[in-house]
Amino acid sequence: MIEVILALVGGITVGYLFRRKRLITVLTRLSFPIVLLLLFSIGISIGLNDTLLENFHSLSLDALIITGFALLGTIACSFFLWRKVLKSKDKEEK
Amino acid sequence: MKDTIIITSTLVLGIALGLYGREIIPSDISTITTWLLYSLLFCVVLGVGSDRTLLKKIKNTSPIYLLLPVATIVGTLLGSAVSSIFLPHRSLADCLAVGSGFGYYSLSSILITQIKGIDLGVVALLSNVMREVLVIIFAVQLVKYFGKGTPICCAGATSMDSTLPFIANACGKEYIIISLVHGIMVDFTVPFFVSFFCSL
Repeated sequence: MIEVILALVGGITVGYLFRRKRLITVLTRLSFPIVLLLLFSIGISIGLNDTLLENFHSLSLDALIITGFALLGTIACSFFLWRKVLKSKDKEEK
Repeated sequence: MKDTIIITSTLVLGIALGLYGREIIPSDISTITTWLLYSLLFCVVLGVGSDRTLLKKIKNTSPIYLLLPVATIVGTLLGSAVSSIFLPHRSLADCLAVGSGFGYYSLSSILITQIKGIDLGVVALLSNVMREVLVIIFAVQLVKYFGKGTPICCAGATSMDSTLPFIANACGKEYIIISLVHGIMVDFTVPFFVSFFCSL
């Protein structure tokens, strides 16, 4: 946990201090290759984990249930916000 | 969409290597993963610190639209909490940790894998990929039935990148900045919410 916060605070500070340098653009572009390397290593861990592969069907069902409810909650809140506040603002701007 | 295909293929390649190439895999693979994660977090937020237009972009957006990230966070967390009723083998905190990825599957699944183990990490990965794909497929219908804020909220953290073209197509060009600002704000909460719910 502390390492995560250090990485976040460190990244923002370095980004701000060196905001005029090209180095930042280069480092920011490294995010995607790092994501790929990370997913590759996670993939390896999945492939090595026999218990996990045996339970893949039940894990997908869990994921579907959590996503379904999370989206239903999001739709309810954003629909409420749209009807009560944003719809009139949207018409006003047009 | 191209990125999603590349990401999915990389993951599948990794799984294939884990399954069939066990003898060539280094034994300290989890340490490598951890350090890759810290480097990723560092690189992702460099952009936040160095973006001089970021504050201006946020200032130029009508403050009322700042309620969208609130709706996303509240709705997602409420929905995820309800889902735990239907998943008795998962704790409330686990469901909230998975939900609080807000579609940012790479980061949330990696964080959850590190803290809670690969089982919940895979659920997070699948769940957040599903969220992104569903928004890409149904963006137009979401606008039609639930208003222009809904695809942005449903997209969660991805409203600033992968789902942005689909949101622009469904809501109109004037929603691009709103969607970007929403994505940036939700995106930034992901590591904090995920770490918090994983620590409960």
